[in-house]
Amino acid sequence: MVINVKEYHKPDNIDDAITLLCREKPLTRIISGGTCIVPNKNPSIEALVDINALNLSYIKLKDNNLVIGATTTITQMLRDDTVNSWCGGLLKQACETAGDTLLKNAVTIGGNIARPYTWCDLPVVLRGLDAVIHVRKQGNETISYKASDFFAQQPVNLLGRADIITEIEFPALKGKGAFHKFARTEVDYALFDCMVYAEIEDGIGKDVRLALSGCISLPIRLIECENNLTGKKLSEEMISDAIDIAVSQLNLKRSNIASNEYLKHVLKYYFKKLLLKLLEE
Amino acid sequence: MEISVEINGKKENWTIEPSEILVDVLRKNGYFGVKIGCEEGACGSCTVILDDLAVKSCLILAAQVNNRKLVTIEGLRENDVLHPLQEAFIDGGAVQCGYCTPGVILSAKTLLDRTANPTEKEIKVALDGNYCRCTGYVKQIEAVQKAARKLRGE
Repeated sequence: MVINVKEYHKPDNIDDAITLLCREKPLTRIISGGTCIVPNKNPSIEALVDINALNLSYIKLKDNNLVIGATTTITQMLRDDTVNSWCGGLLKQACETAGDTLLKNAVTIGGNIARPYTWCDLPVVLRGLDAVIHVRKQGNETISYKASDFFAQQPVNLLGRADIITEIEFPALKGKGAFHKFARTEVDYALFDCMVYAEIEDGIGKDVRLALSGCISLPIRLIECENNLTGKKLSEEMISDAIDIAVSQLNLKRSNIASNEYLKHVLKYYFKKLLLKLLEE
Repeated sequence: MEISVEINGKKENWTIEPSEILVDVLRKNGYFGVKIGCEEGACGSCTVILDDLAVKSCLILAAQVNNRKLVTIEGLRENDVLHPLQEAFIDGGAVQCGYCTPGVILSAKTLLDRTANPTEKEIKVALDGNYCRCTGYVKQIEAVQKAARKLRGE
């Protein structure tokens, strides 16, 4: 576990943090909650920069958008009323499944998306809600990535060595969402995470979104399915048909636990269940 | 590097390597109630309370706790009087091999510090990071409920 770390820094300003991360040697990495980096067996990592003194732990509204600082823990998010009510409880549902209580006390939202391992439950929500990820780079530059761009590849390939995710911004939306983590137990790694979001008026899906992660390499939206449902008067049959087609066409990762056939069967069930529930509300 | 922590109400200074894991440093400094189990953040036998939150000390570097507050199972007793949780676990048959017990009790303590009258579901959620292979959890949940009653003065 980070056996070769010889330096530990906890700067109180982001410029110093970036300066440390920019160094060619020693190989320096960020530590936030620590749940990912501490068990890391990579012997090349020789220095760590603790970013918890950079004042990146906050939850606030900015022009009605929900903005969460990167070092905010899952527990802090769950204790916030605005987060809990966001999109009809969608974000809360995702946070509740993001590990057990002890892990939630340490896991940060920034860490959960910077290395979106298949067991990370939040990236799919960012993808589904078109969140924006703000990243501070060297030279006082901040780049804002749409979730669709951020998760178009593994973020580790997008982010530079010295890049620091500072905050995640969720746009204000009028609809509601629902989330489901499918796993063997409540605290096990997800076999898949799926979410739906819909703004429904008089039975018409004005904005319908479906997103998926866990059983595929990166979180995705089911765009064709969304196009088949958005702007239409929704019915159980229409929803069922659109989801059946979309899920059947997915290319799932190979799993040692469940067959693709089984996962697709369960996926169809949960997408339909979640979307129909929104329709009924 | 030197770090300073407040542990069980007392200030201590430790000399550590930046790579050292908190559970190892705690045990090196005599806090043997903090157990090493899976060493990968699954079992919870290494649970400690860090700044009022229960965390897994096998997933935290000792360097991360500089200038912070720690509570281990050793810190629950006050003046030789067991904490109601410790009493309830012992009296209620909630301890078998005892290996998970410090971690479970500390997780329960953080729950009771925030919620005086937790539901069974809230207790299960609070303990969901602590594995017990012996008890089947029933007596543990009952012990937490009993301790909560005592703390409420019932």
